[in-house]
Amino acid sequence: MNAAAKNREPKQNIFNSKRVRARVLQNIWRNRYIYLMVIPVIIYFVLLKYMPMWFLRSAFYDYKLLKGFDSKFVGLKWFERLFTNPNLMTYIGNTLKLNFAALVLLFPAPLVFALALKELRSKRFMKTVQTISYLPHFVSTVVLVSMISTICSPDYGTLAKIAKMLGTKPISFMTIPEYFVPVSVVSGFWQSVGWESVIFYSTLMGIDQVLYEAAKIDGANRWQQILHVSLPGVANTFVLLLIMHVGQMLNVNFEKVYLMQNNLNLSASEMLPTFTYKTGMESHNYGYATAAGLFNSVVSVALVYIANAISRKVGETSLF
Amino acid sequence: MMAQTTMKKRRKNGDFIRRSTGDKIADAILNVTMFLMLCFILYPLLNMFSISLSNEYAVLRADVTFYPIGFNPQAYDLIFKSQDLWRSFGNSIFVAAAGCVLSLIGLCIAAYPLAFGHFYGKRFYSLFILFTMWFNGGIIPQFLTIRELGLYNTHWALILNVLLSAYNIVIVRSYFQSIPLEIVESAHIDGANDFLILFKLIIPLSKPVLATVAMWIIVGHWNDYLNPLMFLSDRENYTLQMILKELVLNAESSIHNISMTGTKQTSGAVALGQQTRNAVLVVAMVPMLIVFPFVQRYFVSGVMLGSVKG
Amino acid sequence: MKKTLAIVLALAMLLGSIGLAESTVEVYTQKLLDAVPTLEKSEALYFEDGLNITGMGVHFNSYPTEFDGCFYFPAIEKMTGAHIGIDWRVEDNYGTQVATTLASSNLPDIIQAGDYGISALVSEGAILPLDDYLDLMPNIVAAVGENRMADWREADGHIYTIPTIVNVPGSQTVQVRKDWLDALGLPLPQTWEDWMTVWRAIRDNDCNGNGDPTDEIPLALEQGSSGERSMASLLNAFGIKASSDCQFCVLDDGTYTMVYEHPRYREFLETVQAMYAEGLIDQQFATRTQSELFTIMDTNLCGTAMTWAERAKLSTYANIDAGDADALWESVAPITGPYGDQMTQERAAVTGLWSITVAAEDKIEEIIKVFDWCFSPEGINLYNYGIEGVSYDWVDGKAVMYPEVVANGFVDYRAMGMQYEPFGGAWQTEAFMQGLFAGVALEDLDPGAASFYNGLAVVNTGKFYAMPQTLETEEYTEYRAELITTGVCVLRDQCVAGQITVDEFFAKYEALKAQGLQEVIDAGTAAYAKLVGG
Repeated sequence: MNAAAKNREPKQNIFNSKRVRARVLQNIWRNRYIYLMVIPVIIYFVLLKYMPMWFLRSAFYDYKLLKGFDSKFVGLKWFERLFTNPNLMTYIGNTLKLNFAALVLLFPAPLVFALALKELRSKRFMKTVQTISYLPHFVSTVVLVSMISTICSPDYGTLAKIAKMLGTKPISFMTIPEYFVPVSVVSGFWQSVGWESVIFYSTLMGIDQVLYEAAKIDGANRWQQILHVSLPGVANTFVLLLIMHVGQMLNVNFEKVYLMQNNLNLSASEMLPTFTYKTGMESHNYGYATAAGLFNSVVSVALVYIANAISRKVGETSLF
Repeated sequence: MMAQTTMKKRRKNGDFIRRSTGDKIADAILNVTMFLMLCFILYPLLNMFSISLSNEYAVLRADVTFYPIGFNPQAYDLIFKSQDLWRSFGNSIFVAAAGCVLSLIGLCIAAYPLAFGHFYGKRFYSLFILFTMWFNGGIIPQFLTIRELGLYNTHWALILNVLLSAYNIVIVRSYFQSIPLEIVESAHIDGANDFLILFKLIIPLSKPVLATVAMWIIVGHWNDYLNPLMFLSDRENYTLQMILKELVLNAESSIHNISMTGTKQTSGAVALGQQTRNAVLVVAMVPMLIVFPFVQRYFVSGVMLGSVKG
Repeated sequence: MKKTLAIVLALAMLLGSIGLAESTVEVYTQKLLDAVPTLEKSEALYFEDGLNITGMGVHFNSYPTEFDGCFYFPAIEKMTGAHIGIDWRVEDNYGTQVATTLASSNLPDIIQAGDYGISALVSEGAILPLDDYLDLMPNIVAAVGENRMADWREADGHIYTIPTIVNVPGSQTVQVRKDWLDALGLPLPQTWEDWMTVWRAIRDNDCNGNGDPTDEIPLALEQGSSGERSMASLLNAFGIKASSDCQFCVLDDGTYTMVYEHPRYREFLETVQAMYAEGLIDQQFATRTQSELFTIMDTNLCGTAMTWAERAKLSTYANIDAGDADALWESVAPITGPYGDQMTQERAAVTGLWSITVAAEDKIEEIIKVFDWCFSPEGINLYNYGIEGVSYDWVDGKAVMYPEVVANGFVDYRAMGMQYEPFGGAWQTEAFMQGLFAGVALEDLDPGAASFYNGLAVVNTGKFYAMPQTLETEEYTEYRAELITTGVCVLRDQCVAGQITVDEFFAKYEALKAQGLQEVIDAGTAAYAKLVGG
């Protein structure tokens, strides 16, 4: 942590103890401007985020759009259908496999990339790399998947051409279940590494230059500067993003997985969101689809809570 | 500006003197790695650009790699002929710009109490916001809400729907927290109110993170397709992505415009779909390419943080 | 530097938009629109007090985008007094747009189900059955025809839609590389043994002459938009009369059931599995999308395939353009199976398009009359040929479109607002042919185009079977995704690719039946018997 953050704690305590003694009204009056900020935000969230959430109770109905909540109440029927599915654990397993690979390989990549960018001596080269690296973010998933299947095609793809040049047999990446996760991760890397490094890069640039100067005076070399100044400087952001990322463990880039699926790789590529989409939305069963989504949300919150608790114990950063 | 340049020079000179052999090797490895990385990222993009400008047969045969084969700008012709293109372009710019400014103001106002406030209900306020990160009603109730609020078929629907997101609030809050608390406190003692502190002190110090979030919001609006599709009904109001998507569908469906005659205008129909899809991406990317360098400038301004304290 | 670049890019984009001349389409669109006031009231139907119909439908992209500029609806209004105002929606995600319309309970008078599905609208209680109003639509009933009435009805036996009708011959054909067969010294295959010989020869020889004898795909299996037509040509060769999605079939005794119940299915599966193992079938059949199929056909990588007839022409041109001057994709008759079966699916002519919603209950009769008028001789002429003296003339009792109108095939013709498929009607074979040939005589066609023509109108003649439609019973809708598309279809492909054996396939299939697939089959069988029985 930087010096400023260290100074923070004692100050806060003094402030706190004062506040505890003050009367409630006095506190509110003193914070009148803070409340002026909080209230519109709360109104916004109630109107645009919480009101739509009231719809979530459709998970307990055989929900018909035209009838609305006059539809038949079915209790836990959809949850039963979800939990009695014989393949549920396979789907969750597939989801976790993909997300775990993404967590280990993809999540730290943008940070490394941002550090590397910052270390580049030629600023012109740095700016070129950065600008180009964020462009793949604009490629839509549909186009991305069609690019993947073209590049991976064993008949005419770029990879097949390389394989043939090397005298080996082209691999059919898209139809072998074992390749689903690698292909998914590599393409994810291509698409997101630059874009997601932006937040780390800007945080790195936000680190007080004085700290680097001080480190240099202490005789730190570049590697030590990275280790002792840069990394601690982005740790906060990194941990926060990590906690939020852990909360997404049951979610996947739905559209991409869905488009990359085919009958021969389905044993590795079917996941909970794609399965519930197919069973719920294709037959317009909103109750079932909502129930599956609700299950997903609850698990996400549980995961975030755990990650947050661990982070609070181990470090000082926490989401809430 | 002057101070910055002199500082840069000094740093360069200092480094020049101190650079060791190990340092040079490290630089070389870094440069080579980043160059390979650049190639890895660039190739599919280059391929995309080349396809958008290639002859339809070459596209069909999957022959196109680094450069266009048999130059054919037909896809661009198709895009720029669209009467709705420029209007939708304007609409997108309006939504992205207004959405960005309003979101930034909103995010700062929402994040300030979380970072600097000590008020009753802070924990509730924090959880109240975070909760929306995992629970949402889905597209249908969102649509109904927008309609109830009388925003249907206006650009405000697009702007307000994503005005404040829990994720962005967390990001801005965490940056605010890295700002020394003394700054806020001394301002309080000087009699400044929280709004004044936020706008005069905190926001100028938070340029890097605000630039990042601004970029996210702009690009989010720029790439958004499903929300305009749901919330807009008049062609007048359509955004760029909607028109572009329509052009792609149009090019792809021309595959059914079968005919015995005419080799050129119909035989490339399948490929024209591919060319158009890629050309559309290029057209959508160019404005963002123009915007990014301006944002990039703000990333560096955070370096000045130290001077404020002293 | 950067700013200069920005300015240059902006300028380039601006320049692209300048310099557009008025096209044939614009000229004719205006001419047709100008001619609308000259049209006379229809004697068959005219609403003196006017009639306002609101609707919501899918906007197909090859049709006029500025609806105000399209003559079709003003013409209908001038002739019948009925004003039709449709809220045209983007094709993409149309189902979600229908869902939000339903949720807001603000229904238009008429609606297209689109990818939301007619059966889903029925189960929502949003649309009205039309069975009781058949007397009011004699023209539509006549256009559908006695023998296609079953195609018009939904699985529950009711009629919910005003159809659109395309009276056009077959569309998909089996195609072979004639030049490859010539080089191999093989004649066009007639029997199953001939076909096997051809496929093995393609597999073993370097037909495309690139020095690699292993990269030719002997048989590429056709695909629908989501792989549902996979293997239709081979199913047909085994005498299995499959539905369009290849999941259901009608047995010889007239029973409607799943294809897997067909007595020849096991043999079919064993044969296909062996063919795959032998390398006769496209090893990428499970992922070969339509555009990828076109790619291998265009790039000398494929020997035989079944796909759109038009592809014979386009792929021939593509190969010639690439320097293979003799290349010829020949459209041939369907594959003859081991038992001598030779058949192919008939194109579905009747497609349900518009439904009348519960919101229009009080004017349903008037709305039906307007639709029926569109299928009357007057309506059919308007739909197919436009306005007399503007886009066509009568020659020897035949409507003949002006050469400029069809010079660009269907492209301009549709862009002017004719054959306005978003609204539907009865597309006549005669109008189809005028657009298709675009003024060129049959004998002037080059080999590629001739192959296309053969595919459309010659080789399949007499080989069509009446394709059963997939019946969307309640059970089907409930279990489709779970047990069919992610169930038995996956098993089938895994079996063909050799990941599981044929016995395992059937064992797992039986398990799916126990999970509910049997209910789907039973409901389908019953619904079909009722539909056919009347």
